This record gives sequence, structure tokens and C-alpha cells, in this order.
Amino acid sequence: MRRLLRILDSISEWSGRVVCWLVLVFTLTLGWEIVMRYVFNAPTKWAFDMSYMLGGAYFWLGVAYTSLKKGHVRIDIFYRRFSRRTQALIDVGLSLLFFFPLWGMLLYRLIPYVYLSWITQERSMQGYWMPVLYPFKTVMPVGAALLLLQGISDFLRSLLVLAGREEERA
Amino acid sequence: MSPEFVTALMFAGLFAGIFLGYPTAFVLGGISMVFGWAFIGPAVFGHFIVRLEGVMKNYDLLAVPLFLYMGVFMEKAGIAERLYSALHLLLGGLRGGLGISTIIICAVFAAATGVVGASEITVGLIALPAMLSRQYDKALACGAICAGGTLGILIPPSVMIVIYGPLAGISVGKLFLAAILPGLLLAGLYILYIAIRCYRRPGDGPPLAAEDRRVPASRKLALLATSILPPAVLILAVLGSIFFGIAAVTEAAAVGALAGMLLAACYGRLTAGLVRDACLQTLQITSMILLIAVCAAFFSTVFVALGGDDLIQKLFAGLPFGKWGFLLGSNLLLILLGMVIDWIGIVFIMVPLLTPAAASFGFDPVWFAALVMVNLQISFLTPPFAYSIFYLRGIAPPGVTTADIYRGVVPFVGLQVLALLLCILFPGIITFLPGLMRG
Repeated sequence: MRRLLRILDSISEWSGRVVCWLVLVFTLTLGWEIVMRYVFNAPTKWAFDMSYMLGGAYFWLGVAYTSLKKGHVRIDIFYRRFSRRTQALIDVGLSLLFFFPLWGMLLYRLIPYVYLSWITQERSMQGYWMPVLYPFKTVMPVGAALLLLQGISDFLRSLLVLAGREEERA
Repeated sequence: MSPEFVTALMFAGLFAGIFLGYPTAFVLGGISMVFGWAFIGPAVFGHFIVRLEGVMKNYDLLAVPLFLYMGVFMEKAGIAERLYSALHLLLGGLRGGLGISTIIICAVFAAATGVVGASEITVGLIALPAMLSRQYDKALACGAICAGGTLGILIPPSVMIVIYGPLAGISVGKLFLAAILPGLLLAGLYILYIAIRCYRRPGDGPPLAAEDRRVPASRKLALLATSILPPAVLILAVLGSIFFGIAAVTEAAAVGALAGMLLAACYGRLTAGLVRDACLQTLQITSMILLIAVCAAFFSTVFVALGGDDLIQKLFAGLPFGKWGFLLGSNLLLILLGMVIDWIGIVFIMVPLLTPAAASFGFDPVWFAALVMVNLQISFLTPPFAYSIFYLRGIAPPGVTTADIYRGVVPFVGLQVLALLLCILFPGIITFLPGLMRG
């Protein structure tokens, strides 16, 4: 159990540490485009598509890491007054009602959607570059899967609290 | 079931989940899933995929991480320390001078970063010990930092505006311009209040002793120039390029982020470690905000499909006293929500409902949007859920109690309400600058 939790958390941790660099990449991409356009009067045709793809991947792949770091805002005006057990009960109940059905179903529906994009070699219709879309679309199920894995880790921890076997977070 | 009942049930579920303390994004998404599945069927997940892809592809929202990224570099470049020591020397001789300096630095920082947390903590860590060691009234010192820090979300570039624009279908550039004068108005009111209060009761904000300030004038000016000029040039470049239509907001944000890095490099603070921390910090805040954006988009899909938006518009149209009844009602509602929910939740839930209603009453959309944003300033200072108070409590020394902070913010909340009224009575405060913009 302890091992499983550690593995799940380290997946989220590393996804964040890798993905976070994308912000630097798309900052530089946009910077390059601006220099090319205003200084050399030769705008690139790929910077627009490239930057929103990188930006979309950046935030969506970071959602699991943010979950690990407890970064998703909670309105805790009542929550923080509850006992650890009550808090765990709320988290277990609402993740069964809200979290797992939503992201689980979304992942289930995303796989055929993205598969279609792969086999048809779908291309972007915004702008002139018209890049293939499947690498970008593949980010959607990957992000959802990462979020679900982190959700499982949080869920198991809350169960441990309810079972009276509280574990400190590594 | 009638649409009235379903809509009421959706909101009841939403607020129940939020107040139980489950993360706002997951409650929004979960409620949408439950109601969508029940009333639309499994096809609703197809709509959700389209909305998720829409947020991921949104070019305008890219400005959110970019402005956050810029803010982290500005924060770490050490501008706040320099600026404070310069203003400290220039204004320290006045009664309340340190309090006034605090507001000025907060306003500059508000323009250099796009959120409240970064600027308030940076300024608070410097200004609070400085004011307390000079025997400032604790409540006044805390109130000034909380209120000043809150300007971060209003004075452009601000993340709130970047989110608000696409939600309301208004150009982000126009909203940036609309928010400048109200932001300066608030800063001016805060300064005036501190000056008058300390003039009448010098014990609240005593002037510094002369020996504290005996530094040659040339050095004072040099310090001021090296501290205020670089960020000022940077901010003017970012806002100016938007104003004159040279760059889209997203591109201007990228320029801001690169310039922030350059600035940090000039002050000798740019290291690989800083860049990595900035990337990670930006990732967490961006993902938090944009996940709420995704889930709020799910919510609005289901809400509109179930006829909720028509219902809300009818409800607004039926308010007594017509447009003024709506204006008063919506502002009071925002103040009430602001006490218990954070601004991100309020913006994503309320803006899609209020914007069409305001338009149907004939209010100028830019004016109304800026008014809502001035109103949301209040939400940072009104407990029980008040970010500015949380941040300050996190960094306050042991001698400062939560009661001191609460007492301190009261007059500033009054000033925010005054600013809101001024913006209603004199709409030009908001509409003057956007009116000048080309196009």
C-alpha cells in the first residue's frame, strides 16, 4: 500500500517537474515570432499553432501535479474546522460521486476520439501551417489519466484515515 | 421536472459541494456531469471533450501563465526592497510616510505582477516589519498591506482581466485600459486616507527621525531611478504595445515574461534554480485556474442546455426598479459571494450570467465588466474567505493578531465601496481610456 502510494505520487511529481519547462519553451517561441515579425519582417507560420499547443499541454498535464501539491483551491471556511475523519469522509464521498465518474468517463470517451484523429491524420485548420493534431489531442487522455492516478492516491489516503491508519504524506 | 426546479437544484448542489470544502473545480465538473448525464445522457461527454479542447486551444488564455511567469521574475528580482528603501528615504519624513510608500510599492507591483499573492507577500515581508519597528498602529499597517496587495488583481496586466475578457466576449486590451484609472483611484484613496489619518493622529504613523534619512539627495535619486525605472519601462512597454495595437495581449505577455527575466538577470538574480522554481510555481497556479475554467465550461454547457440561462435572465428582468435594481442587486450579490468564495469561482460562475443581463439593460459592457472587477476587490478583504487576510496572516510576526488585521481592513473596505460608487456616478473613470484606443 505504502509502496503504491509512493509510486502514484512520484508519477505526478515527475510529470510536473518535466511539464513545467513548457512555459519557458512557449515564452521563447512567442518571443522568436515577435522578433522575426518586427525585426526581420518574416513572421513564422508555425509559432501560433505551436504556442497554443504547448500552452494547452502545459496546463492540462500540470493538473495532476497541482492536485498532488494540494493546489486546487478549496473553500475551507467550514472544512478546516472539521476533524480529519470528517474531512476524509467528505473527500471519499465526493470523489466517488464527482471525481471518478467524470474523469473516468471522459478518459473512456477520449480514447476513441483521439484514435480517430490518429488514423485520419487530422490537421489543424487554423492558420497556414496546418500541423497534424493527433500529438496535441493525445495530451487530453494522458492528462486525464495522470489526474485519475493522483485521484486514486488521494482517495486511498483518505480511506486510510477513515480506517484509523493515518499515514503521513511523504 | 421543470427547468426552475432543475436550475435551483444545480445551484444548491454546487454550493453544497463548495462549502463542504471539496475543490471548487471538481465540484463544478462533478455537478455538470451528474446533471448532464441525468438530463442529456452520455452524449454530454462529447460536449465536455469539445469544451476541454476549446480551453486548451485558447490563445488568449495563454496570457495567464505568461503574466504569472513575468510576475515571479519581477518578484524575485529584488525590486521591492530597492523601491522601499528609496521611498523610505523620500517620504519617511511625512506622518504616515511609510504607509504611503507601502501603497505606492503595491501599485507598482500590481502592474508588475498579475495576482495578489505574489505582490502582497513580497511587499508585506518588507513593509510590515519596517512599519511595526517605527511604532505604526498595527491595524493601520496591516490594512494598508492587505488593501494595497489586493490592487494586484485589478491594475493591469492582471490575470483576472485575462480570464474575464474571453468569458464576457470583450477585448482584453480594452479591459486593461478600463481598469487603469479605477486602480489608480483606489490607490489614491488609500494614500489620502493614510495621510489624513496620520496627520490627525500622528501616533498611528509617526514620521522617521531625521538621522534615519540623512543620505545625500543624489543617492536618493539614484536609488529611486534604479528601482522604479526598469519596472516602469517594462510595464509601459507591455501596456503600450497593447494600447497602440502593436501586439496581441498574449504576445505582449511573452515580451513581459522575457523582460522580467532580463530584469532579474540585470539585478544578478537570474539562476537556473530561479528559472526552475518560476516554471513550477507558474505551473501550479496556471493549472489551478485553467482547470476551473475547463470545469466552468462544462457547467455552462449543461446549464444552457437545461434552459438555466433563460431562467436567470428572466429572473434579472423581473427585478424591481429596472436597471438600477439590477445594478444594486448584482453588486450586493457579488459582495456577499465575495465573503464566502474566492474570486476565481465568482468570475467563472457569475460573469456568464451577469454579462448578458447587463447588456439587456443597456449598460456599456466594458464599464460593467470593470465595475464587477472593482467590486471583486472587496472580496479579498471580507472574511471569512479573504485571500489578502490569509496571505498576511501567513507572514505576520507573532505580535500581530488576526483581530489586528480584521480591524485594519475595515476602513479600506469602506474606501473600496466608495470607489465603486464613484465609478457608478462618474462612468468616465472607467470608459475614458478605452474610448481613446484605436479600433
